[in-house]
Amino acid sequence: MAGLSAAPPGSAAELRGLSNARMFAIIAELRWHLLRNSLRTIRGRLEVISRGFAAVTMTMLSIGGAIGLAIASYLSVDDHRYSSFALIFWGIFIFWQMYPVLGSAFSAPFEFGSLLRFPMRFSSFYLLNLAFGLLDPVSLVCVLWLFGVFVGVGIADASLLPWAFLALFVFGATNVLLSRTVYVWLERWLAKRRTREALGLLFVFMMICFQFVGPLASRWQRHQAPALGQYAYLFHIANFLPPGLAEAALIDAHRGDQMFAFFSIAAIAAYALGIAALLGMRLQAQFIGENLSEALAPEPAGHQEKVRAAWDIRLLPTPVAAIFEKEIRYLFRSAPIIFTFVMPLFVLAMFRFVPSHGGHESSFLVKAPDWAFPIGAGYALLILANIVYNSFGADGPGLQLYLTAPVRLRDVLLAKNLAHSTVLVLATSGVLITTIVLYRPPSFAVTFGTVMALLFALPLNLAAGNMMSIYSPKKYDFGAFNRQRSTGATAFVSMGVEAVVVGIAAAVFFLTRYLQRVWLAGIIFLPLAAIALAVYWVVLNLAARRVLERREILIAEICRT
Amino acid sequence: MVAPAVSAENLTRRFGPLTAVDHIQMTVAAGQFFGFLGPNGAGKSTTIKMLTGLLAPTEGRIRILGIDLEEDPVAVKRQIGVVPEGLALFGRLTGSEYLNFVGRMYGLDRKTTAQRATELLDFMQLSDRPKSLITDYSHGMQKKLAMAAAVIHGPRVLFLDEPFEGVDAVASGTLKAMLQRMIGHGATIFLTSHVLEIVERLCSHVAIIHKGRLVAQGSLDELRSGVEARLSAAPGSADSAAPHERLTLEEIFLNIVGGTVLRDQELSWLG
Repeated sequence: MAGLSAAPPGSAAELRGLSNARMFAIIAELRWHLLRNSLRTIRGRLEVISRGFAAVTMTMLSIGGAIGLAIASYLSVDDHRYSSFALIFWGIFIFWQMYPVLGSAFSAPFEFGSLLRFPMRFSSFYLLNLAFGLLDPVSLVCVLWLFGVFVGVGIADASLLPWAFLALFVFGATNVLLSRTVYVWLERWLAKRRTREALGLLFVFMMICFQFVGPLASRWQRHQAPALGQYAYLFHIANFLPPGLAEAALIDAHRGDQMFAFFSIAAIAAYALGIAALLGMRLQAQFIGENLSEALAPEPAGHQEKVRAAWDIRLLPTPVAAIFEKEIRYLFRSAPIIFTFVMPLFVLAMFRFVPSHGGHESSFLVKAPDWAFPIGAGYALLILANIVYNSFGADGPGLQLYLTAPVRLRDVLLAKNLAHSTVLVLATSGVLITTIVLYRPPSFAVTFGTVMALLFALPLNLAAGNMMSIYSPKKYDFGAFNRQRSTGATAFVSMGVEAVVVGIAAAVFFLTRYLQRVWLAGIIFLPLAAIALAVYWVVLNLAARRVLERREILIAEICRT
Repeated sequence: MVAPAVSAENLTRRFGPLTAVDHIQMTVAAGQFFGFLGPNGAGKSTTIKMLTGLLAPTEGRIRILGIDLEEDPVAVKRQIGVVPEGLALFGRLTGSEYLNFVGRMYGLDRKTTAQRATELLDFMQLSDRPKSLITDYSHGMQKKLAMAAAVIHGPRVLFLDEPFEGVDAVASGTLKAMLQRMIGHGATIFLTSHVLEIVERLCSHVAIIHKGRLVAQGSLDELRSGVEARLSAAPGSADSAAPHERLTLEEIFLNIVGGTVLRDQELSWLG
């Protein structure tokens, strides 16, 4: 082409494509460098040590599981008791597919597509995805378990080994392909904040619901005979799915029905091919440049409207009202608040439906329903402590506004504390309603005592929480459901405060109950609440000064990206 | 006598053994469009953080519109607007909720805040996403919102840390128009930027910080004359510009802080 000079020696024009093996080696080297560099910090070293412990524990459990499966498989073949194969294959299948899904729902996914900016062929991209899936710890555990099955079957009947190898290999390959397929689809959904949060919520509620399965099943068994017969067709469908087919292949091979065994393995292979094609479609979309960013979908036109005025809270000074409104909006758009509201109600419900001994409801709360309200309210306070003890954690870069705006930092803390108190009031109201519905309305003495106890416990928690929010801050993402631990110092202090506060409250309640003067509890808590409020006020002013002194540490921790 | 908009005396900040900002003396007169320049790691962000109260100086004094920042921080903060590094946004609010919040933090009443928020969102072309959370905004949209929040109370001094970074040409034009309007009404703007063309077009005065020290300060013409005089004094200098050519800010900047010259044999494989 005219005007263009030849590419200089050593330029991209002379480069040749990399082999897949070389590409894997480069990525492995990159991971090694990342690991080595992470060891430069104490935090990184501790992380590696904890992962090391986790890996050792997981390896032990996996080996134990493999031995157990080997024994179970041996017994199944040896005694012709094939029913345990169904349990084995379905167990492995569910663990293999569900565990990574549950894990990924709580965190942003690894952006595999970021590798696409390098000159990579589609086949390399596909194989890399599979390799990534195979080297996943869950896959390694499951492969080890399948090996256990293989050994068990082989010891029981050596002639089964070729069939077992084929069936287990195809079953394993199907699982690797399926887990990657599920993962890449999830990756697509999880790329968007809204779907990520919705899935997170869904999983949390699923996990909460799982806790109810035992008690509900127990009640159901007591009250009506299960009519499982109508669901028998589900078992037939399960026979045509990969775990059922793998089970059938082994059983048929052992019975000498080699043709049926072959068809079962072929059917699993057909599943594998279908899933591989699905995975290919999804990866192809990524390969040609699908955008999985957080970018907004365009909103329909005509949405322009006047900004509505902020909440009219005349009781509070303007900046305090502004921060209060912001905090309330923030808190009610956050995942942890759902726990604050749901968990106390869940605990009350659990105690209500707890399995009975000898057919009689025997939980403490069922026997003494008056205590449901104080226990539920106390639990709500304990859960809220996670937010109270790290009140700047979720502010992110917005924290800087508190330091550049003409607002007293005392007002900032006060507004945050008011918002947290409001949440507690709402959560406690929920507990009261649940207590009335599930148990019975608590007596006036207990209600009064509980409210007074909260008035004693809350200010002390807020005071300690303000200081820890300043001295031991930790960035917190309200949108994420993954476990976001507070700092060790915060955990230690909050445990200490709760031990003292809950200890005093429990002692007062038990003492007054023992004396059969529960009405005394509220009166005892009254002066304690006054002292707690005074402590809170003194600490509030002190904390406000400390925010300014420690602003750099706060900004460094909370505003980091 | 009108007090300078920004005045820093002996401003110093040390991080352990590192002196990030080293005894800076700087004055920005009221009504100036002031560009604060420097290479990466020179101390620009540290200085702007100290001037806005985000970072405590190790030594030195800061006065904004004659008010001592340490003695009366709230009075100073009432007069200034800030777009800091990281933008100071709350991701889980909508744009209008955020502006409502910021306006009242600066003491505006609810009605005025809502009215100004409507105007600002319209002007910044952000009003068509009333229900979107800020966390879902693009970087450019977030920058425009941060700018809107910084001016909602009509500040007399505006501090902007890299306001044009990641902003498209249309949004950049919008922001520049707004800033020019503020200058026209007597406000002072203090900005840091790596985009020297923008600084050259907008700013009347600049200061250059290098390795924590202020190495040049004045109007663009003053800086230009200084560099040209130095170049013409150097006999046979290959870098000296022809006498009839005006030096660009980029040339002035590179001349003051120094730049890397690519020699013939270096990176030859690039062509």
